[in-house]
Amino acid sequence: MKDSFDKYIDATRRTLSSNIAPIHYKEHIKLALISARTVGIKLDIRLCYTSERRSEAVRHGHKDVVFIDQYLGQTLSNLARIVHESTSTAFALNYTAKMFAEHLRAHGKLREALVCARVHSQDDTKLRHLPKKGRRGASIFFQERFLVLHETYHFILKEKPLLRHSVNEVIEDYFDFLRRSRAENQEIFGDDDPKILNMLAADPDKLSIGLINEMVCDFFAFSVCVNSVSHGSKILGRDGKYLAAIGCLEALKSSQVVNVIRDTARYYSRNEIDEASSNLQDVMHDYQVRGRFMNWLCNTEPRGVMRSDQSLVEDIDSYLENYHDKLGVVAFTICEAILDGKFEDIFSADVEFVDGLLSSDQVDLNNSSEVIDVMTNWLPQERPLIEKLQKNEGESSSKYIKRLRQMLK
Amino acid sequence: MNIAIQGPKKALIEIEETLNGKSLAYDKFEAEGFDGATILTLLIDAAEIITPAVAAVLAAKVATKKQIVLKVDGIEVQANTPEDAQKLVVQLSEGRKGTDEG
Repeated sequence: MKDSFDKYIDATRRTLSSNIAPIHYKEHIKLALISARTVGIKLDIRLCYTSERRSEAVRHGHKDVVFIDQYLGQTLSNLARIVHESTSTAFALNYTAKMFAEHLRAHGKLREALVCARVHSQDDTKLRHLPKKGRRGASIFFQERFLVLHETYHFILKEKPLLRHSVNEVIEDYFDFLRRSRAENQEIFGDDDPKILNMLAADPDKLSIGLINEMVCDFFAFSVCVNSVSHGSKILGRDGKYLAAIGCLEALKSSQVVNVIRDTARYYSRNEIDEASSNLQDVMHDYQVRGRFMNWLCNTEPRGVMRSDQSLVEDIDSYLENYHDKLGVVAFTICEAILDGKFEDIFSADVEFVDGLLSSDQVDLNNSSEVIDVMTNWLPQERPLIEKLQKNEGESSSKYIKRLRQMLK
Repeated sequence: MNIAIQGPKKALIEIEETLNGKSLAYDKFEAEGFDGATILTLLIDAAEIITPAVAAVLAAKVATKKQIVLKVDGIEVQANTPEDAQKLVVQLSEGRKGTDEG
């Protein structure tokens, strides 16, 4: 029986509840509930599976529920594949197009969603074709754990605001580090260009309270995540804490991509381009500060995170380089171009093709929603969809779907 | 079918007044928005209570207020013009069981 909170999620997001697999989150949620119970808080944590790719704490009357979006977890997994395993930027383009298609579809922008779905449906850059490499499994495990804990700590700190005092010392240490970095960079670059200085090291005295709150939650989530791994773990070996630490950093970096794409699609769909530019700059800035804070934590955390050799530093550097070259540069350039009014230019060939179909009267845009869902793999199996359409709308609908899919290939 | 009307607190005051004026029941939710501000969501059970006339009023109000979003089954309804609002009325009315109160 669905309660008000479930109805809230169903009405505000595109959901696919049948895809929820609680087993993957059992341990993370248990850890989050223990963290909350330790400070006397009872939490209701629920899973959802939505195209929003966003966890959320919701209040209704006097009750609160924290929703963890499992589709966000799957997205993190795919982004990790791109960063760790992809061989060209085409993979990032392919997945960015999928995310845009799904968000634009949810915003009711079917033509643009259809264009992006077509860009995504180029089979040669499907992520499933990539061979599995290295430590992606552990990375995803800790990324998801970090995000569950981060969301939980938002809630815990709202209920117990005094808890944040225990983090003051760490935050102050980090701010001292930022001040030293700024002073060093000022000596090298001068202070003519504050943008460069801020890019290299943010000014701690100008960080918003909201951002500091995020950093406090990041710290708690990082600490619990790292300390949830015992030294010499049977599965993870001696490097367990290190894998947890770098997983937290990766979660932040991937979240940046997910959030910037979601925000871009929202601004674009609602024609709020003026607001978009400065807001997205703030989002990028805040994620940069949080990413650097996490990187700093990985390197200074005194409880045995670091390996005795230099490989942690090297691995983080190598990850950040791959993140930028294989994913960030593609995703953020597309976002920037879309907000610059260049949607039609970036995807010109696909725009032309889709517009051709629409103007030929062979395709009715109002009936293309489910095609977009199939092309973006939101609905993974075509057969049930077609059977459903046959049952409800007669033979013509299934033929229509097949024909349209064929045309869009 | 549930209809969600989302937006910042201030922007939703008129919508709430409309619902209260029509004695329509709704559930109210609070969550943190994209920029850290509180976002309210009013959830209306369209199948039980909403009529085309009320839907038209709501759609028109959403169409004139940029920050308010109207969603049906997680899909944002684009209602930037009175024509869009009219289409919306049809869409919202599809799931209703109640009678039009004019």
